[in-house]
Amino acid sequence: MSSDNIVNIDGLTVRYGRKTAVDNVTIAVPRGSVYALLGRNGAGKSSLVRCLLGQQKPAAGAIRLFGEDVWRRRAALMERVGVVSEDADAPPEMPVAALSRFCARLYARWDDKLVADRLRRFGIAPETRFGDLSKGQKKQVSLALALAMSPDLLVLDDPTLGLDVVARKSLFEEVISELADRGITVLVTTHDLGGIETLADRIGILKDGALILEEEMEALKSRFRRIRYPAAVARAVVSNFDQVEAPVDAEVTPMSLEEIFIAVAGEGAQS
Amino acid sequence: MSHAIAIAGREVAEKRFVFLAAAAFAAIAAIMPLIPGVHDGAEAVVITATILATAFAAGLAAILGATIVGRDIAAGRMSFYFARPVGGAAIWFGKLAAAAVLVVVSFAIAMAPALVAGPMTVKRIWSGSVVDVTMVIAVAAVVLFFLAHAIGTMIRSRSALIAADFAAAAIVVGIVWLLVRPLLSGHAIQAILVLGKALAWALLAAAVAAGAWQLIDGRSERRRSHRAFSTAFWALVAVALIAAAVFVGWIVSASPSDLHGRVGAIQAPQGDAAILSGDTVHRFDYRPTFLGGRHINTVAWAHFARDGQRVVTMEMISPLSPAREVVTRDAANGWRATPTKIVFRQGVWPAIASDDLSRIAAGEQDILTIYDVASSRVLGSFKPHNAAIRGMFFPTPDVLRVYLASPSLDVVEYDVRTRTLQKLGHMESAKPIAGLRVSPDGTRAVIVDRDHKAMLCDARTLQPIAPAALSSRFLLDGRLVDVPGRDLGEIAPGKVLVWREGGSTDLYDVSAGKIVARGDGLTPAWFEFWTGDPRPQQRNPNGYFLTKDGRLTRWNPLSS
Repeated sequence: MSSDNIVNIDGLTVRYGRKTAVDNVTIAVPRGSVYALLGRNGAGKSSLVRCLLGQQKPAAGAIRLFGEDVWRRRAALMERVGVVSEDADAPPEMPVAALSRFCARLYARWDDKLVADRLRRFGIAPETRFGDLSKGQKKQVSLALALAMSPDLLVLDDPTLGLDVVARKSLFEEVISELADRGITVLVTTHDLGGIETLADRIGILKDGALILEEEMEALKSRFRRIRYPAAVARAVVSNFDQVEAPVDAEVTPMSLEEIFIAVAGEGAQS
Repeated sequence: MSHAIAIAGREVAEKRFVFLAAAAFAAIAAIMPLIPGVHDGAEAVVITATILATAFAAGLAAILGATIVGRDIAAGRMSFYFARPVGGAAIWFGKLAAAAVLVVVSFAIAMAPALVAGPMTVKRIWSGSVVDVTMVIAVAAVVLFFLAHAIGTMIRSRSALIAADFAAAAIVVGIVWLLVRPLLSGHAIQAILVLGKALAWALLAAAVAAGAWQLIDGRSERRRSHRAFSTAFWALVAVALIAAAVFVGWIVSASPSDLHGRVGAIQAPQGDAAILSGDTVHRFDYRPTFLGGRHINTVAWAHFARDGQRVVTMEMISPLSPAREVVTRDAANGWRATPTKIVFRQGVWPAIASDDLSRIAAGEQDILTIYDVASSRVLGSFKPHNAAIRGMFFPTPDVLRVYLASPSLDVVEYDVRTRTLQKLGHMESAKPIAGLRVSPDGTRAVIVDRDHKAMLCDARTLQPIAPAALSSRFLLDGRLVDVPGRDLGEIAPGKVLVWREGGSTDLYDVSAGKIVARGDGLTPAWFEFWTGDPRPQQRNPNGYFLTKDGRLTRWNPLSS
């Protein structure tokens, strides 16, 4: 467990009655990296995120943010963590500006100007009630609020869920710009594999609560290749590329993250 | 603190529409004088505003209690707070403060027309106790808020833990009853009120603390939130009950040596046995009753056997009922109660036992009934029409003699073997007699009339025999003697205790014709009730007395 890791999840297990939602998961997120946690619906991503944010106590295991136990030190640690949750959970009757003012009273460091700038960029009027915003705008406001106190860790729980292509792009661009400006650490759960592919440094894939794959994006991409045999009908073979001796006349191309995910976590995939 | 204030402000802002609703209620009260047929406009406004404001505040408290935390957790909206650098306690106290502000301000808004109509009218309608009425409304709102919060938390969790909550609530009610019962038995109303207030504050503190712990440890998870709330609440209630048990234990740990002030004793003619009851030192208004050093139920009447080894009593069955049961207690059995199933639902007066304690006679609702103690059977009863019982005793266990004044004096005997009532004698009198003293064998009587004239008569036929001195009385050996002062009973042959007004007890020696021992400042501690038996009483020579400063002490004039 490196002290340079912003997030250290060790043997995390979450149970709901007899059902195990997260099973002995160990994850480390180094400072400045973008960690994408992938998984199908019900894989255990949201349970893991709730535990990561100190909102839920795991059945077993430990979670440390910035080296501190998140369950015990949640309130203090949240001073350094920006969160965009899966459901836009801000009070619907509050105008966006009031929401920003309210949050400003809770954080030691808060930059109202950052919020205002982002809202302007997103084209959202500050006096609009949160409940009146579209789904994409709610996520944009959530992101603006999450970034207003210059977090050291940004946790995005399925931030693009239900967003159209333009909204998705806009949201990820905002994150990318923050990454470029400040080099914050990001942990993101998402189904938008195309959007995250250019952003993530490291990928973790959850299946039925177990972490079945965890790897650097580059290593993952180099390990998974599409091999085409010119004489045959094009077909993809998913294998460990390092252990395959490709035929001389085969065409080898990289696989997309979506293809890798389907191969690893899709129906019938061997985990 | 600042976080709690921020959250309170946000919650109030979110729910500020309730102020509009309160204003609408106020408007209803304000237009009352415009309704045709309303004569006193101010009064109508005050009554309407009071009803509406109270209902609004109570309803709002219940709704807020049920929703302010529980609904947010169930709807997943609590994660908005938990994703911020805010402690669970700050969230809880912020929401609690907001609820208080919403309820208080809404009440004030809804009551505003009444205050405008006239504060004096409010005071008059509220029976002059504005503070008391406000307190009652505030307490009702607080109780409704926390009750709704607890129930809302439990129901929303959809957890089997709710069964444990109900079990715990039932256990708590049972324990509280077990704690209150001995205090009720000891008539410790003040102590019960102190205990009740302390438990109410403890419950409030437990509810507040449990709500905070619910968010500190339960956070945004419904079931964990319920578990955290219940664990904290019942644990704190358990601590409060332990403290209450210590309090009650201390109160009921009073021993006869703690009796002080208003103390009564029913003492056996011989031996050490005595029923003692009275106020206790530093134990509020707890008035326990002891026999042989052990606590017994409150005794309404008792009659010891001559040897002091047995007693028959009438004891309260339940602290919540006026019913009394005849109970026998035996020294050989550690004075444990043997119930007889002879139960009186109403007050009993008078009551008398035969010398062997096998029979008792008791007047209940104008009917005099004779019971066999061992079998609990009714041996007979009769109604002394339009006459007051001036004295009665069992010459033998089978015969009850009763002196009836109407105002003429009649003497009757009821024989339980033949179930017959026989009139023995009659004395014509325009006024009820003032005093009746009967010789131990039941053959002679001294009757004192309202003109303070005493006459020695035949106790059966009431035929006059000879004039007697006003202060004449019978000794246990049958002698008729003149004893000055108030006769308290004979403690040895020819030795009569007399009580002087002003609080002193003397021993009068009939043979010597003078006082031979003086207990200055000693007042007899025994119960001052009239036993109903007009025959001379034998008193225990080592009697219980109260000193001037209220201490219970024993004094034996024969050895002083």
